[in-house]
Amino acid sequence: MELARFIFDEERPLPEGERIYAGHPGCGAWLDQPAWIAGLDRPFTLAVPPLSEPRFRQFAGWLRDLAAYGRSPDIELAPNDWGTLNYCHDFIQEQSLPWQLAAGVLLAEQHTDPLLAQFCCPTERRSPVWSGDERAELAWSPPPPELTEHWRWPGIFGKTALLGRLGVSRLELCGQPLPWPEQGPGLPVSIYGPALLSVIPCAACSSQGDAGLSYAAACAACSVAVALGQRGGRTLRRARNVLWYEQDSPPPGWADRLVYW
Amino acid sequence: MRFALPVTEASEIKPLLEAGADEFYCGYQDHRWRESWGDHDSLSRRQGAANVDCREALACIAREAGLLGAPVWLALNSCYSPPQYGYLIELAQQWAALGGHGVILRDLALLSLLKGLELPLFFSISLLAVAANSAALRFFQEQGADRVVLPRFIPPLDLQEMLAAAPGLEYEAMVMDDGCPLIDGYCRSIHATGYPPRSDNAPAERIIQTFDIGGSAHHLCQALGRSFDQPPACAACSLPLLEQAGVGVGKFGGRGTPLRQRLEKLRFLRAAAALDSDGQRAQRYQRLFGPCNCYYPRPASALRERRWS
Repeated sequence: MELARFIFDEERPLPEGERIYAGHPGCGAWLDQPAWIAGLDRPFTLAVPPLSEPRFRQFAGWLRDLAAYGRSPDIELAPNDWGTLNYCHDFIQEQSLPWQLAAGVLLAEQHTDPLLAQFCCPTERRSPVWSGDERAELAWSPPPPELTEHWRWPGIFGKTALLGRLGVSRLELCGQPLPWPEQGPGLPVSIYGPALLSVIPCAACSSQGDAGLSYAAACAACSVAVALGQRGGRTLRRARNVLWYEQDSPPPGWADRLVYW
Repeated sequence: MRFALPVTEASEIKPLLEAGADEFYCGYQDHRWRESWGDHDSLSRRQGAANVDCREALACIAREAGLLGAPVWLALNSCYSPPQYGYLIELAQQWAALGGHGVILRDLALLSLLKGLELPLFFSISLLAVAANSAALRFFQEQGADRVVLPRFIPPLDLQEMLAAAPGLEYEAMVMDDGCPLIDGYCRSIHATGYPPRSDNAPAERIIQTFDIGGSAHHLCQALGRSFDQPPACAACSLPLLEQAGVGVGKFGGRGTPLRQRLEKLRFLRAAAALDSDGQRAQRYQRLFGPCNCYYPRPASALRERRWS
């Protein structure tokens, strides 16, 4: 199992013996200062978040710089929206670059709600909830096997034909609350340690923040992980636009890379 | 701008048309689906009663809309797994045979399967596919999309350049209801059935006999502070900007809400569109619904100026 680690900012010394992950799957702030990434002389994967139109244009321009000045012998791009993935494919083809392409973790269509584990647990069938200001209790019947199977299966596995046409040679997944399917997708797979649950643009990214807060301040505030509360027995955390929780189950046998967050 | 409204019954079509609707969409979930895959949001991203619940009712909707000359779209906009595709293909075939106008979807494997059948249907890419840049628009067009529903988080000011870069597609944007702070195309929380508290103030207990694990308190966005009592998300003041950018269809959320509420919101937006100023629109909204809840808040200028510099 190959090990990899996210480096969110320029950091020295770089971790030894692990592949580097630069960029971020949910936040494009790194595009404001991307020069250090082009300067990396080791194999790295670049996680590209879903890009708005202005960010996309910024990224497309910088990609040319990376192709011209990038020092790494092994560059892998992992876009997290279909448009950027398709663009990267075309760019790699046109420039005849030896780069690899991965489908980013947000394209995986996984079922990661921690409530699913609770729901599928054979002994738990009732759960206290709040309904408005009132205490309530939910009870439920066991899910049929078809539904459990559906929840175990990352939807991206059904799109390997399309991914093949796009030149994708790796899938990026995250931890999930239900057991993995026995069969992998037939492509190399990276597993991110935490389980990603949702994406919520911060004040800086949505341009909707407090007018008194500068872009830099809003962005800095968003880069610090904040605990948001419990869901399905897990602590939800938010940073860099992404909501996630720790998921400690072992990666599936068909995965070949583990990515520390 | 044309307005697209959700329906769950054929009888809703005529009054909504009379109030200013131009086209319709509906979700679907029948006994056969529920038996295997539950009554949460796994088929049409809405649970239970927000959907049409049998083929007969679907046929009535297609017939009534056809008689009145209004297009109807069927939302098959979830992420699916291979055992589900057979059901979905059969449903889409039947929808085409009934005279349905199109299908709203996000699953690109399903789109490919349906395109291969050459059904007389139009294909709209759901906002759940998160078409946030011009490269995504062009990609979805290459995959066979006729229309794209734009994600909620894109400020209308950013749309002009983006849509101009992908001509030949029809564009739709949310204009009323279903505002959510999360990017729902990347949100993996389960949507499930809400239920009202008991009127006698006793602790409510609800035994859910199906596969629904929900309860409104389980919505992730609610846990993050979104209240379902808040006034409806509204884009009245953004309609001119949206139209200018090339958005031709304004989408109303609110699937499964009472017809009376949908009519009230539709009449409001039709009237607001004809007003001269944002101030007048805001005043009218506040009189009807409460404090403004803007779908596309105007960007804080300080933030915006520095954002892409």
